[in-house]
Amino acid sequence: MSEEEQQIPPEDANAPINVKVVSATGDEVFFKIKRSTKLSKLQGAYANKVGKDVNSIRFLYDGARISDTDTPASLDMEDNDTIDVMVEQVGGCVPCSS
Amino acid sequence: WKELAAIRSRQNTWRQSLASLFTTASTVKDADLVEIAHQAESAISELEWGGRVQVVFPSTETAILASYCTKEWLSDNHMVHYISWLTEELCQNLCTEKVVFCDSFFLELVCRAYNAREEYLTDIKLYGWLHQAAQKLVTGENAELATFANPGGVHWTPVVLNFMKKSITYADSFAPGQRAEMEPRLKEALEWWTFLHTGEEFTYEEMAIGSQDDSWNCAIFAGNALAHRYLPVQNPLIRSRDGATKQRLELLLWVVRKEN
Repeated sequence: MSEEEQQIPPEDANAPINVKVVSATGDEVFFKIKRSTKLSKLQGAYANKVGKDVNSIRFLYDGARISDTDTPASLDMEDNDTIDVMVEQVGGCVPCSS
Repeated sequence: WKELAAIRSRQNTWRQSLASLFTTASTVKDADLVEIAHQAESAISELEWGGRVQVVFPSTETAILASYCTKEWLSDNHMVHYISWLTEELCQNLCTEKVVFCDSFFLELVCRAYNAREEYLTDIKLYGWLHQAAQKLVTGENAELATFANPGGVHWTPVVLNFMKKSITYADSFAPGQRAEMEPRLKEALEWWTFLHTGEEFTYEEMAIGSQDDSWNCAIFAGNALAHRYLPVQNPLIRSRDGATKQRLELLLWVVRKEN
């Protein structure tokens, strides 16, 4: 191994990554977050930014819901990855007539 | 004061659910339902009302369980419980169908992919998981994909995709036996996704479902239709309002017992 190669620092496992949160209407909000930070913090910040109750929206990564304890590291997220945000779904009575 | 207000609000939610259970237990004639209502009362009294349900992924606030005792509309978080219960039921009953139950947002994500069709083909990082889901259906690793649609944001209906039979099976508890039509935007997105991965047009089939005659139990009828599809003996179609109420409470008891 050359001297030059030895001087390259190993990749910081906790280096911040950029994450894009995309809403159903296509609106995008960008966050920079450490890989060890719980995504619940990002969820709270997003809800604040768009003025919604965090309990009324859902966050999904790769088609699966993000749980309170998930972090970018636990989900193997990479820089510039996208999180989908969805509005809570409810259902009870009105038949689909469309 | 904010914390106290939150506690008060939760207490009220649970009080209402207990009152509703009491009404159910004292008015219905179905002895099984009365028994389940009593069991639910006792289960709720042992529950930490302000906590979170941790046993079902993803965790949800315990307070949402109160909705099972009332006539409140059920949300996607309740459907998470239903999907977990269905998965466990199939496993315990040694069902040989290779069915994968997907989150109620699955179809919305297919719609999102449909609205970004070029990206879907080029951005594997963003849509790799959806390509994989299709691949598993194409190869037969998963025989069927079952999930819930939420047409108009007000109603729950069951949907099953079968890539081997090239079929989309659908039902609506307000129109059982009437070849219910799927929401157009959903239909368009599903037809695009299924054709893209198979090169063939899918046909529509009708799923057996109970007939809903109330304004709050569509989630239960939709879940029961899926349970009946895979385990018909253990899960006969719900035929009455009391039957739906019973199923709501059984779902509540399932979650609470797992939690305790």
